[in-house]
Amino acid sequence: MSQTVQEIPARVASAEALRVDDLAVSFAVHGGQVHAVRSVSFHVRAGQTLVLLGESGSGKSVTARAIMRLHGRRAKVTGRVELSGREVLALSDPDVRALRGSRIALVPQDPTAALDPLRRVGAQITEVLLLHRAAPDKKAAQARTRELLRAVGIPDPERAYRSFPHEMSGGMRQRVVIAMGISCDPDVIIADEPTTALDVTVQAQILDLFAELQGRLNTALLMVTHDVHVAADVADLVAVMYAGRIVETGPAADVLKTPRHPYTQALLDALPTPQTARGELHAIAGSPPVAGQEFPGCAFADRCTHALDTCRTAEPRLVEVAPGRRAACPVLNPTEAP
Amino acid sequence: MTLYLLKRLGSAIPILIGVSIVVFITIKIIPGDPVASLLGPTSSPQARAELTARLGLDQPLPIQYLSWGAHLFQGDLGDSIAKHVPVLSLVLDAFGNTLVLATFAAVVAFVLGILLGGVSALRRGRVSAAISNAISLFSISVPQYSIGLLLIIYLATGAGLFPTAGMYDPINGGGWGDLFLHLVLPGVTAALVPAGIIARMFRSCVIDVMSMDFIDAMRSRGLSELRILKHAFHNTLPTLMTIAGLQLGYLLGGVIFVETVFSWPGLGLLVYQSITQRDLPVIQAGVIVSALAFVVINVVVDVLQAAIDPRVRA
Repeated sequence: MSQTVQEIPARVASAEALRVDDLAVSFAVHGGQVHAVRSVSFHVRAGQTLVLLGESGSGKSVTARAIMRLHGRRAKVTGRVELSGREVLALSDPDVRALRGSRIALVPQDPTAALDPLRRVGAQITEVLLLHRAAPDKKAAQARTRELLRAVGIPDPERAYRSFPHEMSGGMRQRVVIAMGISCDPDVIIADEPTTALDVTVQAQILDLFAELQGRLNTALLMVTHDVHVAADVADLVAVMYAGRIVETGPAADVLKTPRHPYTQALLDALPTPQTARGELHAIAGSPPVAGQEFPGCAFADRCTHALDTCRTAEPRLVEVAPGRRAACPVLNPTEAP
Repeated sequence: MTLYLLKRLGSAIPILIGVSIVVFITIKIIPGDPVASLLGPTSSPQARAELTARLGLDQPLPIQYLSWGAHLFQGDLGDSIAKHVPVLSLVLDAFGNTLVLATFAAVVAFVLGILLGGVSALRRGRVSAAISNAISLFSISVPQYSIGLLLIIYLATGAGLFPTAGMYDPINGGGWGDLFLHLVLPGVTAALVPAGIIARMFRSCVIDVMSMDFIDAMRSRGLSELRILKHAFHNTLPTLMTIAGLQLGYLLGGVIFVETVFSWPGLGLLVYQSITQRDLPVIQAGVIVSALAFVVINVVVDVLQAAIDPRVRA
């Protein structure tokens, strides 16, 4: 497959855009190393959307940032991250910089904080285009910026171009940040909680925009969210994270309909529905683990209603439980042979 | 922007009126009857009453203030008691000399402060940052007169590199080179405290800006660290200018110690001499000119800030 890379167009529908193998991230702190993420593996194809789903502290944002090598020197990142065939973790710093914003783009959580407050929106997008030579000259970059602003559904691109970030609404700023993300036609877009800072009504518009752009550009999308509804809305694939590990992964429709891990079940049960009576929300008992907390067995065992004694001593492995589906719970997914 | 400028200039007027009221009240509070001191202890009560009426001192205070203010507004600040010349020309000459010294010291302080603060913020945890911190702390804490005297002893009288005092050489002085040589020691001495303050403020400002989300967002877009630093510096400018304005205002107020130690013929030295000679009109004028300079600098800083930060204009 990889031998024929030169003959095939840059982005084929089924090409693997991002592959993460056995990723681990740990941070140096006073007392030693804190393991934030361990043995995380997944892959996303062009045109596909993978949602990393989990509570805050589950390691999903750490994973996303590690893929772009945005953790500083305090972090130790091991494993493999393959971006369109290039091994990101082995690249030199300048080579990684050349990939960031051009081959892999990040749409951050808070668009307001992600923009330079002192510069006009248009200039900030133009800067990225010129930096990655996605436009031959300044004039072309400016024209392309206006095009991008129109493409992300900003009603008056000319005005937006000349606006300062504080002069726009949160939804418009998010569109600006998305325009910046797609500006160099990346292979992979990482969206870190892209709707969390927005009103519910605007959230749906932004998710629709992601879907529309992805359909048009055939980009692989890795979306990080704590919101099951967002996952259900956009995901082709879902990877549920807990305490720095993936506990269940598979096609979104299957995972969210018939979860095979108690944590996924609990997460879905905790969702309020219009039928939920007052005071009857199913909170998950106990509290989520602190980032980096160590467990001898299953990290979820203490909060799990299915837990057996063995769960607290033996660490469950992520195993295939159905075609294309993997889960890390031997209790819900007993193997036939002992 | 024009509207903002007008608004800002308008708001400076009440401040200036406030300053003039404070100065006026200070004159009134200071003990001693000006009529008695003018006529002497043996004067008749009748002569005193006559002079009191002629000077308008029998009028109610608000009327006295208005008449004093009207003179002030026309640039009439009275005559110096000790030197018998109009106060205005005396103070303006001295202020011009202070302006030269303050501008030189301000440039030294900004360059030094930004370098020290920048190193200390960007190289945190390293030896270079610790050295920068030590230098800025030292420059804030050491008294100006002692540093000034040490510089005179070692670099002026000792090594003979610089003149010990004054602004120009009295024999064959004049010209830019001569002025510069005279400027170095007092300029550096006056710059030390502001440099230390600017360094410490700039340090915390750079740390703040560098920890903002948009810096990280720029990194995720592939910008080089150098380019990110450039944008970060841009974002420190509003804070930097506020500090710089305050420090420049303080320097323009006349650096009394420095001007006295180096006999620099500026506002500080003039006010110092006037205090020892109880030359009240000159002291008043000195205070008013310093206050005016402070207000003007602050207006300029606000306007520059608005030019840099669009959120201030809104």
